[in-house]
Amino acid sequence: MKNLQNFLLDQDYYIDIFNNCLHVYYYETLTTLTDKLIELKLKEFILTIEGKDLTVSAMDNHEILIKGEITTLRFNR
Amino acid sequence: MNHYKQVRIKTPKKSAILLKLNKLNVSIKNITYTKDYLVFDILASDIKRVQKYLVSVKLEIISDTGIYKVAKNLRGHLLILIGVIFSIVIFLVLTNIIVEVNVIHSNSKIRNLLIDALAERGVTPLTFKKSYAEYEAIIADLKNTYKDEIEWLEIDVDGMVINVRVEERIQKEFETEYNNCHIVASKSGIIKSILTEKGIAEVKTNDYVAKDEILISGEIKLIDVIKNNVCAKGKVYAYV
Repeated sequence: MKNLQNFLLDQDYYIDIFNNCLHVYYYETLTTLTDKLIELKLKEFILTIEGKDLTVSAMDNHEILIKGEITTLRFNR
Repeated sequence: MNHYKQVRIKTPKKSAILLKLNKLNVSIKNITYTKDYLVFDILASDIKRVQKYLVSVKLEIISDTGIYKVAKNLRGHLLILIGVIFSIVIFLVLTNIIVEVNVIHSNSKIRNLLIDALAERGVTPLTFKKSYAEYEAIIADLKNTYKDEIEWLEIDVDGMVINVRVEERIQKEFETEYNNCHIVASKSGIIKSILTEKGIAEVKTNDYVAKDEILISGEIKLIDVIKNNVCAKGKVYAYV
């Protein structure tokens, strides 16, 4: 498990989805933020998250936790 | 450890504020959305930077978080805290101190002997109690040191009082029992009195006896025949 964690932390980014939560590691900027749409710019693409009652629960300069009913995840390269 | 403070910002545009905070690269967590406020925890070191850039909104500090919140609350109740700590210390001291050492025995010599011996081993009033193992070691040491005086010893801790129960060793002097012995004169002299308890008196009052002469014989004879042998016992007084 520790090795897997180290492997993920060595990558350019990684995304976890669990229980109406989305955790994005190594994002660059938060470009859009509404309760229905959130857009995050990552190194290679823009991640579009659509859903209901979307909120940012925690964030710092390279990590963000989004909560809400996620219906769509889109990768725009 | 990062020092986070819980703050709130009164704004209807919560998303816009979060986007601005994201651009400032500040670390925030536990974000909650209320009707009028955006409430979150922010690093204390970032607060000034946020206040500087978000001039259109007012950032209110609600409280510290985590250990800092606990520390602040404790500082607010410093006197109560000192009182509680002092009470605990007093309680611990009082429950672990000896106020009296009782040696339970009728013989004052034994009592004084044990009180002195216990004092030498650190069991005196106004000292701290010892552990069970230490008391066991003291008991073993006392039994070994005073093996002629002490038969049995027990140390009973009753609250702040130490009760020492002791049984004195009573030494009986046993006379050597011989199967066959005579009482002989250690010196020459004239017998003044003779009292025979065991054996046959060989001399009478006013008899002259020489040194090493048998006074009371252990041989029980019947018509010059030895029928039994006993250890002669009696008291003989003589002028020498």
